[in-house]
Amino acid sequence: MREKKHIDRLFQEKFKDFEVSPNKSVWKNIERELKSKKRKSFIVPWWYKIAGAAAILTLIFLAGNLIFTNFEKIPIVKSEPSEKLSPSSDKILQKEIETNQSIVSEDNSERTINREKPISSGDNIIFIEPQKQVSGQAEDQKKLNGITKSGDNPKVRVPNSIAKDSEKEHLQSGKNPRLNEISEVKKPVEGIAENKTDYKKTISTDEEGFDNSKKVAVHSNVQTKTANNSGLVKTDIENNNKKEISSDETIPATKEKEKSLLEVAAQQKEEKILENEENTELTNTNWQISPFAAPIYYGGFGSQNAIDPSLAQNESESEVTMSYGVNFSYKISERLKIRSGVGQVSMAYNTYDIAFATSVKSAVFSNVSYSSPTTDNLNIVPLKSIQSGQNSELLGRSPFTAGTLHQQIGFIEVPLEIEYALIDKQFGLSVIGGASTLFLNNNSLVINSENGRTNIGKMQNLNNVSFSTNIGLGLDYKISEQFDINLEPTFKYQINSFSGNNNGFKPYYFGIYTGIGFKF
Amino acid sequence: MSLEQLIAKCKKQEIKAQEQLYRLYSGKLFSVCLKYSGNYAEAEDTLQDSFLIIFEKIAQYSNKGSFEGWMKRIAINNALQRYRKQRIFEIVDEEALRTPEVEVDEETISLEYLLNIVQNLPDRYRMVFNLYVLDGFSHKEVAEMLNITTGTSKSNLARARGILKEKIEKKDYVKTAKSL
Repeated sequence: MREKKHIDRLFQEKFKDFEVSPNKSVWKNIERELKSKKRKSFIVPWWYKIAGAAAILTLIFLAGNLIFTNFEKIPIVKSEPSEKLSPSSDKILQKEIETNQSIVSEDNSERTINREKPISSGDNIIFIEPQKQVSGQAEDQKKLNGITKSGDNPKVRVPNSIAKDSEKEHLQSGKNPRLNEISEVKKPVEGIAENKTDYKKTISTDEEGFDNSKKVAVHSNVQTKTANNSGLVKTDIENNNKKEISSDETIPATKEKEKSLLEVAAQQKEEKILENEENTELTNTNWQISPFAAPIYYGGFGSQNAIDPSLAQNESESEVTMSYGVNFSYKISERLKIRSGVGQVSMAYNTYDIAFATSVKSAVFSNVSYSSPTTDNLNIVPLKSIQSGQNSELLGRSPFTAGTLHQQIGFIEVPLEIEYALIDKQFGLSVIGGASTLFLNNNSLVINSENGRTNIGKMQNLNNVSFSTNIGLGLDYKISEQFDINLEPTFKYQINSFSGNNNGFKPYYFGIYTGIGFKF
Repeated sequence: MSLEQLIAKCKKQEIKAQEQLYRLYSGKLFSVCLKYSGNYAEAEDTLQDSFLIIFEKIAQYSNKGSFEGWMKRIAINNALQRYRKQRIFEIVDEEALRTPEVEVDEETISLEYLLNIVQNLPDRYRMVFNLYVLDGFSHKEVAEMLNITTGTSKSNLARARGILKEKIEKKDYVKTAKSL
């Protein structure tokens, strides 16, 4: 029975209870996808776990580093001098003072000669005057327990007077035996007192770099020794003075002992110098700038294709591309650097075995924004689908061309990373972790075929701003104090490069960054 | 098991529950996919992708509103995804905007035939016809969903109706000719 009917109503009524069971294979496919997704979902937590563990390790290293550097500093100041100077050095000092002042004076005389080298012989006259003054002071010192007053001694006090002081010392203690033999005989007790202070001075001049606390420790040792032994010293003075000239045999043994003390002082001085060097290095070369270049390999977890699900079965491969830019780093502690920079990173990805032809009816890739209306009518399908008879309605009647889909992506990368040095010597090894912000600046899709290059358009599911998490290993070799060569294999996992439908494609890239670092 | 319980289990990504949900709704959603797709194979692909998205995003469903409606919307969006970027700018023919009436013998015209002629509509016409006529979206909504103007939506609808009317009448004609 024919009747006139509104066309919309006809369809609405007919389709009202429309329900069709799909083929069973559909569920099979869904099930397979769900299971493979579960496997994939393992990868992401795994990645976050590794990144988390790396961050925690970095914090532990940092904390440990701070604690241990603090501990290291304290014992150097407090324990070493007391260990080396107290019981054994007591004996050394005692013996030295008891047995022979001449050791001290001879030692001093050696130094005198050294220091006097630049001075002309006529200058000796000038030294005599200060000697008088000083010996007067020494008498005062003797009255006031000599050594305790040494702190008030202008010789010690006056800055830049060390050289002069030592010159005075020579004269006081008769370092120039030819000149001062008589004065020593005349004033034996004075001589000892002077020698005591001389000894003190030899230590203090040797210890120019020492902390005040150390000086005090040494001085007090000397004071007690000299006080205890003053009696002995006094009685032995004349003999000693004679020995000074005659007996050279005692010198080597006692001198050795003295050397041991001097060695300690020298060692500590060296340590101090090293420490200073380290400090200056820390303060002066905190910044580093390193231009870099790297070959980049782009890939993705999952067997899917980001362009269209229909291409999932197609063979695809990344091209090796380049990244280049500049990194800056700032040294926040001995081992830890924070770094940033700016770089250009390019990626290229080929999907092989596609076929394309123009036709009236178009099969459009879901994630492609076509560049012109003509490319809208360009049908691109997997070559296999034509060979197997599918898509015949699309391409069956029109001639098709086989080709390769070439996808180019470029980003401006701004990283923020932490670098922890495991080895920091001539050859350095470090771990690097952090994240990068990626600003999309190139996005194109072309077909390369025997007919040439056809521009298709661009991917429409790429985010303009995305992020990556980075983990890498840094190797560097120091050419000089300021320059080093770096090699950093780094893995970067892109977090949100694609918006919405990326067909399960999880991209990453791997680069071997090489560059030259300049510290300033 | 109630629907809420089933949804809760699907949120935990339990594969048994997912299968049950699929069995409950695949028929209805497949009909949607068939209407919006050019052919059966394409409809299957759309259905498969839609269910994968449903299972992935089910945690976002907040138990407010129709669950079936939510799933249907995902299926439609997914079907549209393939065609959304086609922008067809055509001059609106005011004459064509009138809704045509067809003379039809309802008993002789099958649902299968109607589906077939819908599927054979050019993509841009099929989308608009399905959205506006069969799924009740306004031209404004259709325009937003397809990223086209309302004018284009109206014009595409008119052309779709024209093609369908022609095919129905042609079929009727063939049938009448045979019976003579």
